[in-house]
Amino acid sequence: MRKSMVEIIKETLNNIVKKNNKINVSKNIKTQGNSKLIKFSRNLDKNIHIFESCFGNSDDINFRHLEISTHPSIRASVVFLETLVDESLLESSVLTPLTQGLGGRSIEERTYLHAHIDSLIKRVLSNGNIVPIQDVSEAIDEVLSGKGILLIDKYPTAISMNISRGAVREYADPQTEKVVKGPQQGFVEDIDTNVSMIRKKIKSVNLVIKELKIGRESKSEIKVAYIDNIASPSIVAELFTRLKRIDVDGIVGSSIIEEYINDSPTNLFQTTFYTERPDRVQAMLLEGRIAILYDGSPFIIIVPAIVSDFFISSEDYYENPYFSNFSRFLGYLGAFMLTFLPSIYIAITTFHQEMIPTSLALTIAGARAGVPYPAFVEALLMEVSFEALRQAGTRLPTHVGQAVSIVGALIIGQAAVEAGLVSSTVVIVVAATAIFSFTLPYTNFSSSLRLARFFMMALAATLGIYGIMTGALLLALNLISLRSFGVPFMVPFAPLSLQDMKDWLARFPQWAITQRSPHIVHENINKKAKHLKPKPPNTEGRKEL
Amino acid sequence: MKRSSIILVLLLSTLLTTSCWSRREIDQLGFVMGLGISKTEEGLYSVVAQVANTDRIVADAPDPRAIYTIIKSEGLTVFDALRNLSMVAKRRLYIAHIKALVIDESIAKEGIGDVVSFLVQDMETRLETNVFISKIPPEDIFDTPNYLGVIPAVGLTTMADNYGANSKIYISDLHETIEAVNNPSRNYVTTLVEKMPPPSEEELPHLKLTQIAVFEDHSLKGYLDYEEGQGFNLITNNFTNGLITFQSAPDGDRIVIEVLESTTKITPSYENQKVSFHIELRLKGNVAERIPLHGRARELGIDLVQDELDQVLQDKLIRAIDTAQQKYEIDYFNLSKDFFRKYPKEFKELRDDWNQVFSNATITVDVESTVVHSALNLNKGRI
Repeated sequence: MRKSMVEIIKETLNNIVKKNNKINVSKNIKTQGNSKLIKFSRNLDKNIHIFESCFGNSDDINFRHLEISTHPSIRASVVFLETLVDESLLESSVLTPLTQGLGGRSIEERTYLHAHIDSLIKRVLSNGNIVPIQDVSEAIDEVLSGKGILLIDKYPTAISMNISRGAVREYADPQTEKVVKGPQQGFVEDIDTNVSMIRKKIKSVNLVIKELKIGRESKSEIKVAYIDNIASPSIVAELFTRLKRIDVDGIVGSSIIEEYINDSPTNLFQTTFYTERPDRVQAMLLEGRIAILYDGSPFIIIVPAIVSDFFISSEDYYENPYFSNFSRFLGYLGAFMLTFLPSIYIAITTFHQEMIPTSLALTIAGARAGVPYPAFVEALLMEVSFEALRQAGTRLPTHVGQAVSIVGALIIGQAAVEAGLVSSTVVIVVAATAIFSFTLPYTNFSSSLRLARFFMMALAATLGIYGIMTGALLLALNLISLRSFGVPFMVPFAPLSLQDMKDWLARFPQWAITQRSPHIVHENINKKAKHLKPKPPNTEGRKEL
Repeated sequence: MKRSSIILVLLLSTLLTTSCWSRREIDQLGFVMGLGISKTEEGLYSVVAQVANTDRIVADAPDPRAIYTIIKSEGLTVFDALRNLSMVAKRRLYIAHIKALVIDESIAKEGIGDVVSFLVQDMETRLETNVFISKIPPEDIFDTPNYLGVIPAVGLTTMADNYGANSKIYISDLHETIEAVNNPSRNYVTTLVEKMPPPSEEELPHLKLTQIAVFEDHSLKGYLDYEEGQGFNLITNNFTNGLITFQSAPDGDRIVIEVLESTTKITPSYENQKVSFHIELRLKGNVAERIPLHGRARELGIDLVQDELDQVLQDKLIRAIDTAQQKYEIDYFNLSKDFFRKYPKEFKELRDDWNQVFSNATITVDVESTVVHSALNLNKGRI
């Protein structure tokens, strides 16, 4: 409970700051449509409060208070987002010159500089890119883009200094969610880098980054990111409740956190989503979701999750809508085939031979001639060996993995058929199932379906299509009953939400998707202006001209 | 929670009620593709089944004769004979994929009602099975291998599906057969299948759908030739894309019209105890072919062709009607259906000797044809 104490103290501090200070100021800045300019005042504490009230919810805002050694000394403060700045640069180009730069100068000079702050800045500050700023909102934008702001007591101008971490950054390729056309940037193991990637994608004071420490011994660093005026406060509060009750010795990976915060911990399906793509996180934060970052994992947990998340690929938004829809429906087909194809094969070849077109029935029967096992055992044998092959392929080192796949292809594809152990039809069925399973990139959903498939196969072997229907019914009942942080998992199908289907079932053109889902977001539903559909220029007006 | 657990229990208990009922592996089945029914001299029913030899079908280059096997058995009834097949068959016979039902002419003359009734009761049969009549024993029809590697029963169905290309024959499926058999005032038609000698020495004999077989209720009465067959299809609205050939009067050219669309409207009327029908035929076609008799073709007037086509069609219809009314005295066009729709009460009185009423009915014919275009390149597209 110790880490939560830290958290509580921080929150109360923030609350006090909020209450004591001009909430009007922060409101004006937060609702950026209001273009009323706010200037910095001469009072350092006031200026600091302005920043505090704007970034109050985020834990990565940092104030470095210092005294400039003029005569007498001046109080000053550097404001920056610690996730975006280069600390050695901050030290060498700002902190050291300000605190120690005047050490060798005479008292007269230091007295002079006390009165003339402009000269002080010119003489002392060694940073390369210095911009004086009077306007508060401008200064906030600077902070959000990784600059540092120097506030000096009795001086109504803030100094923006370039101390951002710059482009020198290790980005990883997203390993599990590759796209053809689109950013090739993935999260890395370092949490601060990850936060800075998110910060760079959403430069808003409303993006809140909260810090937590979980693990009695491991003290794992966890950061929660959400957009303050979009995400539902009740879901945020619920998430923090669930995170804070994790009292364990250590957290090994981000998936461990998922297990502690799941709505239905014993269910086959997980109701949390994960991704390693910053663009995906950006899109989901803007939808009102909450991201959980774990130091040491490039996978970011996202809650609340819905079933469509597992079918959506970032690529959908980089291709034209027609093709995106096609590939998305391919994904739905993939999920269906992955779950039901082997069981349908078993059912129709052992119970409903009249359902197969005659010529196909004859071919299947011919191919199965001499196979000693019933269709169920045959399919099970192949499915299990394929799963084993897949596991071997992922576990083994790459060069051995290739050998495994050659052996697998030879044994499963050819030798088993030639030896008469299995029929060639079942090889096709298993191969098709495998290919369809690869259309679903998110393994925690597709692996649940892969397990459900075996259940379906058993039902099909004993009861035929009737069994499959019963199984499908049970599966549907289960999925519909799931909730993720109170949000129905099967949105937009159940409860039916046509508005949400525009983005989650199909992929409408961007200008057609104007609203956030009311199931996730409770206020601030409209996410863009209406009538954004591009139109040809008004030619009538042109004629008049 | 309580409700959902009740639903779960109910669902799961339904699972237990079935066990593995009717489970059978596909490779253990003998797929019956065709079924033939005939009678032996002793008066027993004999059933012959064409069973697909699935192992050979998937082979690389199957021998045409090896892809099927024919088994035969006898019994007191059709079902008895079929069950007796199990004493011969090496596999469990499965008749859900049956394509063709061939009935021997001798049985057809006695009436096919008793024979097909069993097939309806059997839950496995499909009603889309085509029904054929044969003058030779069904086993000879089925044992007609071809180099295409098609099982003869399947080949019969393909030919039946393509009837529209000629529209000279008409094939009923089992569904129509059963309707006609169970309805005393419905007369039945289907096609005759014959085995033709091979066209060349190396070739095998082949099957041909030759004539429409007409029935009085469900007993075979006779056959229609091609002209009457086309007339039959025109009147019953089954004429699809057949050809109509005639000689043009002015210069004796042979003209072939390919029919694109044909609709027939039948208007019955009942006045003064007299039944009459008016048949309106609207037909649309192309000039598909023209064989000039005297040298180069001259320009052809489209109105002339249309008039001639009208006349040809009218002759066809009248000939078909005359055959029905005078030669067979059977309403195999089933005009009774149209009459019943308009005069349901009157039909009840006339129902019992409807064929007699039909033979005496006045039937008038009105034909109007449209020739759409020449479909010929001669004369730069002009007819």
